[in-house]
Amino acid sequence: MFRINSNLTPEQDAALTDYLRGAERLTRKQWHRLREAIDLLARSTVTFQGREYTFKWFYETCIDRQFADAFLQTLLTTTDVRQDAPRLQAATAREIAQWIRQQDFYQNGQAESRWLLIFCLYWWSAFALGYAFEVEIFRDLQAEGIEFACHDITNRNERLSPFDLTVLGLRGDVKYSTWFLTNENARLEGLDFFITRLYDETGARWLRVVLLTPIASELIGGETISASPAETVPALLDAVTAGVATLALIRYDDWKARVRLRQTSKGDNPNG
Amino acid sequence: MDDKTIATMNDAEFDALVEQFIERGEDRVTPQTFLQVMTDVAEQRSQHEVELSGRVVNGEIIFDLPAPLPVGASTLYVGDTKVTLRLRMENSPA
Repeated sequence: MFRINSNLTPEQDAALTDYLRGAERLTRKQWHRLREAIDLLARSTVTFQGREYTFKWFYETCIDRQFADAFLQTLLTTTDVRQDAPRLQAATAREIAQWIRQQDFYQNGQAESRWLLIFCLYWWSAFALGYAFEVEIFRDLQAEGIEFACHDITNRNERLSPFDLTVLGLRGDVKYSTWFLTNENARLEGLDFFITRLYDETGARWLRVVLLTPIASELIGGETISASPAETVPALLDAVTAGVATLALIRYDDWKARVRLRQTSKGDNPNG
Repeated sequence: MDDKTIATMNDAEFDALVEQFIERGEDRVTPQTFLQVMTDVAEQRSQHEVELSGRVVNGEIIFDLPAPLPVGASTLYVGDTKVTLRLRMENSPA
C-alpha cells in the first residue's frame, strides 16, 4: 500500500524526528536533512481507495480539501488570532490524525504509516500557523491604515494565487518561517517582499521581519548594510540589514513606517 | 527515547511525539538559523531542476499546486520574468 522513496535515509528520518521534538534542536546540517526528508516523502506514494497518490497529492486531495476551508472560516471569526490559532490548529490536527488512522492503509507500528501521518501533520501545521500569521498581518495593516490589497483566503482559487498581498504596487507573501527552510520548492522569484516571524532567543521574544528584494528596498528608502547570517541579527535590525543573497531584512514595524511615509508623501521621491 | 526515530520508536513513544508536535505551536526559528539555512538553500538552488505539471481547462493551463515556481493560469514567473504560455491544439495525423 505504501511506496516510500528508497533514498530516505536513517539520518533524514532522525532529522524529521528531531524536528518534531523541537525545531530549535536542529543543527544546520539537520535542516538540510529535514528538507531532503520532506521532499522525498512528498514523492512517496500510498494506495487509497484503489488509487495511488503521492504523499503530496494525498495531502492536497484528502487533507487540505477536507479540513482547510472550515479552519480558515473559523480563524476569521476569532478576535485574537495570535491567541486562538494554536488551539484551533491543534484541534484540527487531532481530527486529521484520527481520520488518517481510521483509513485501511494505516497500520499501527508501521514506519510507512507513521511517515504519511507525520507528513500530513507537518504540512497542516505549516498551513494553519502560516495562515493565522497572514490574518494577523492583514488585520494589523488594516488597523494601521496601510493601503494594501490582499487575496481572499476563504476562496480556494485566490488562496492559491502566486502572491498574498500588494503594497505600493509590490507583490508580497506572508510566510511561516519554517516554510522557507523545509520546502525544497520554495521560490522567492516573482515576488518583491516576504513577511515572516522569527524567534529572538536572547530577548525571549518574537520578531516580525520583512525580507525585501532590491527593488522593494529601494522603494521604501533607507541604507542597507552587509551582514553575515552568524551576526547578531536582532541588534543589526536597528538598521536595515543585508539578509540572504540580495535580500534585505528589516523589522516589520520599520517597514510599515516607511511604507506609510511613502504612501502619504505627495511627490514621487521614494524616500518621501 | 531521544536516539529513536519515527521508524524505530514504539507506539506509545510515537503517539507522545505526535501529541507534542500538535501542541507545540510555532517553530522557534532564530534569525541566525533562518538566514544561515536560507543562504544554504539559495546556494543549492544554482543546480536545481524543477518540473511543472498541470492540465488544460477551457484553453488555459492550470498548474498543479503546490508548484515549484510561482504560477497562475497559463502563467509562471522565473526570476523577474513573467512567462505567459499560449498553446495551440493540433491533432497529429493518425
